Amino acid sequence: MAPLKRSWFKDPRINPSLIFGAALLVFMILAGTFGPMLSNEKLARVGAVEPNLPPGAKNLLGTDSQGRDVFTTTVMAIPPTLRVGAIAGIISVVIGLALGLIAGFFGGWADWLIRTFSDVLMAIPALAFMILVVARMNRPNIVSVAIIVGFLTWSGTARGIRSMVLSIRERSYTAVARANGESELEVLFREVMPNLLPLMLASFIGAVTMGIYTIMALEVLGLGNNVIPTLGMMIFWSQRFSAVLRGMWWWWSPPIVAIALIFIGLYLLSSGLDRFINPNIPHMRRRSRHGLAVEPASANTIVPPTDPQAVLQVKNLRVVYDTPNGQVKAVDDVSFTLSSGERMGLIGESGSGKTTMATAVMRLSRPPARIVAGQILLNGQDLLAMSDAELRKLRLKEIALMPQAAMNSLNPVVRVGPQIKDAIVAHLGRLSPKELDDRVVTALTKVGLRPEVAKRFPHQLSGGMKQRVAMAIAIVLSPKVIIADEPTSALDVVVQQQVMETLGALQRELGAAALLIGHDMGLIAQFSDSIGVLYAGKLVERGNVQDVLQNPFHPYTRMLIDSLPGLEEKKDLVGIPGLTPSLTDLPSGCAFHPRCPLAHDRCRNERPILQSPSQGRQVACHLYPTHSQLPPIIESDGLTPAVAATAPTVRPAPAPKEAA
Amino acid sequence: MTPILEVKNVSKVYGGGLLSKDSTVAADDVSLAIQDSPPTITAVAGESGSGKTTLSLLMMGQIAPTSGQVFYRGKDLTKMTRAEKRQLRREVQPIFQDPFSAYNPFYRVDHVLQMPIKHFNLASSTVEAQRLINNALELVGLRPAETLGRYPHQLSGGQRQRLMVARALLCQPKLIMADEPVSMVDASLRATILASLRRLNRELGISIVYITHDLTTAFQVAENIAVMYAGNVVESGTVDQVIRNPKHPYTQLLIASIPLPDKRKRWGGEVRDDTAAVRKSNGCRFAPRCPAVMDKCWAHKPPFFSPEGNGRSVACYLYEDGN
Repeated sequence: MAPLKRSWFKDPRINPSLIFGAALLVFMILAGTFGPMLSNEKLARVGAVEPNLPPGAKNLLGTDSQGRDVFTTTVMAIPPTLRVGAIAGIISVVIGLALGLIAGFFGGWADWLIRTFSDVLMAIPALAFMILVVARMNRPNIVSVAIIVGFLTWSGTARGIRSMVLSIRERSYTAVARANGESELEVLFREVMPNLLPLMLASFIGAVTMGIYTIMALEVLGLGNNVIPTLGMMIFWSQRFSAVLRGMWWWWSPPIVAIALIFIGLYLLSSGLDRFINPNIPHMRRRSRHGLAVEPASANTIVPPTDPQAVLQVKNLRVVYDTPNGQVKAVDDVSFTLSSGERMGLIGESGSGKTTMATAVMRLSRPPARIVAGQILLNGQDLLAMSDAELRKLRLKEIALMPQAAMNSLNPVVRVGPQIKDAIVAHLGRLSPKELDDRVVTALTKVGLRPEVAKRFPHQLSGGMKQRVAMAIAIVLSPKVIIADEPTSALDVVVQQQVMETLGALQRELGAAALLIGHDMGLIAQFSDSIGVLYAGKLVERGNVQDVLQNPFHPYTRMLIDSLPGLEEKKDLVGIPGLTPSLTDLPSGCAFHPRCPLAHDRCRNERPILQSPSQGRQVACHLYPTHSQLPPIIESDGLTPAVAATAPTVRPAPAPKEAA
Repeated sequence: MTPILEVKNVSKVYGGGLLSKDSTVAADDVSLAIQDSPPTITAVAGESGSGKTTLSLLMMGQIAPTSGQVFYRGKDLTKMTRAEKRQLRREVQPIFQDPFSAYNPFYRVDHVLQMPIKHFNLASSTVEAQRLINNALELVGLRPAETLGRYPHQLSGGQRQRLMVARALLCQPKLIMADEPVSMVDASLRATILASLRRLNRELGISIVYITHDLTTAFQVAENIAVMYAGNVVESGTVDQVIRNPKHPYTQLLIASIPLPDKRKRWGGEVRDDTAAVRKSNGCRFAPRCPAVMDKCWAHKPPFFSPEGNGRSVACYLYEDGN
């Protein structure tokens, strides 16, 4: 649980780019505001000082050929340049916001009209248009130029705002606001508008940049106002009087440095804002040629012996997430074995690390997730010690994954047949077209689809059929291990049953081991032979599925089973009190202790290790080995949780020490 | 006794306007009555695409039916005055499926609790408002000190969903429309939320429409149930009748498909798959998948039969002669 009050500067979304950009711009604004006050503006007039002097004590940046002090002129030129940007930015954002809101919120013909108009505007090349306009102006006034730029650039803002409003309108909080009695206008101003602020700020910066850029370009071309010094005009003058040829670097470089600082500030600010709005911009990924750098097992972990019977053995696996606030252990010291032909179910609630686990077993973890310790032995070979190339050969052929929402993992623009063929070719190399077609037909038939499905696009198939296609890809090379991560979570109950039946039949036919990962106890019970229970990244119980369901050892397993509604008798609905712990702030000792009615002192201080109270069963709980089975649990009614008072949120002290 | 909410022969067709040839019948001649004396929990159960969410939106007056009428306390929704509409809006409160998108990330969670008090003038002073909020939170098993003043992302899914129940409660509703309120909540917290819904019904006399795809929770919380398939109600009655002794082949299939956490119970029902050769028919929408399909099923949509009397009805020709 995140702390109640977080200081803004600890917000992980605040990034260096944002801070440096803002600081740079503030500096330029301050220089522009106070600079002219502190310097003598007369020095910026033509003929005020002796011309062509290099920088010295009297003239900090020397003088130009017209007898102006370059430092003073530069300082004086900053404010009009910034002002022009601000005017263009404000006009652009105000118009863009108003039209974007109308288009997004009210839709209909207003939306159509605004979109058409903005399309037309976007087709106009702003700079060329401005050159045309300014060239016809009698005495170009930079304020009116700024206004025109503002009018030309609102369409990008309007589009951004419109699509944001459309997405916000879909969120149920607008529906909640209406149910709370808010009128449409209140929904617009109270619920929609505040969420547009970051986008508006980003659009504003974009428009300011565009405004300054356009005016600079015009001025450098000589289409500026000759009276007021601006940075663009300074560059124009220095070029006009051949400052470069005459070696007067002190003349032409200051305005360029000033404008560069402004642009760098704007760029940093906008990219910082971008990351502030979308904090999940992916990291660079490193390819590994020689396997992952995993830590050796530390002294106080118990490394299970290698099981020669096992087709898949996971040993002391640890996966962490790198977050701005440090590492978070999503899978912590998990070990289990899977024999050939075995069906194992891995059950866990949200945040238990089950999906992290599924991807890690395939060694498909992507940043910010990182496998840091353990071994994954597939037929005795450690997947974590292999190179990427070796691993690629094994995936699909030896071990295959049906990812969560596998139906969305299909490429929408490629027909089903070629997608299955790609998988075959990637592993077996070129085969004759006839053989490829045969294999596709076999795979589709095996998963209960007609061969014609190969010619269809994914969107032409129902959810259940897409799931079957994903299954066909997973089994096309007859893997020895199939990992299915929530393979039916988006499907209706009838289709779910059919898909699972097919998966089970295939697994039996291939003699493969299956690892089913999910949150539905009923589904796992019906499909699996054995079950593993994950809680807060740790395996807390493991055993034969029927044994575990009838006689669970871990209090969490017991309470989870008891909370399931059945169809036999109506009972009191009792949930597990308290909350699933957040991985960023795990309770000390046993992670379940704040919710456990049987917790005692040892549970709060010492992390239980997996032990075997009876043949073929494993549990991580301090009740064993002193108990031979789980003592009865006196449950509260769930509405006034007696144990919730010790929920992780109010846990006073951090973990004293964690057994690694 | 007038039901609190009644839907009479309501249909809703999406699309099919001037520019599109495709139209989707989301609700097809649906009739349903929700009683509030005594207050009941009615489950509307069905798979995705069965029209259950459309039905709930029709019942709240958020969308207008293509044909048919919706009555709130005997008044047609389309003929309501402004004041009556406002009253309907307060008295029929929704709870949504997604406890994440139901909160505006810009505000602390207090926002959703203060708004109804302000807009419906429920409290005369801030002290009273605070008392109302604390009461509502305690009714759903939340501690004000642990929830108020936080941002939505600082609360868990279970807490957020309970807070949504508290919000609905603050509006002093007569009817709560809960659309899949627990499908996105962890199993260990699901029971707690359902228990608090049941408590609102028992202790505060609020009637509830529980919309779900999950027959096990429907069986546990509701008294009555209507099972929907492709926009039609195919079977209705008390949960004991319908779930213990399903009559419609679709209801039977649904119940058989539920995976129960006990290996000794058989999983799976009989189903045909004739969907590839769907015949355009005016008959029963379930006919292509029905294991007991007969010729007349294709010809006409079956009316409701009452195989056992006492309020139970099944839209299936198997029960034409009463059993």
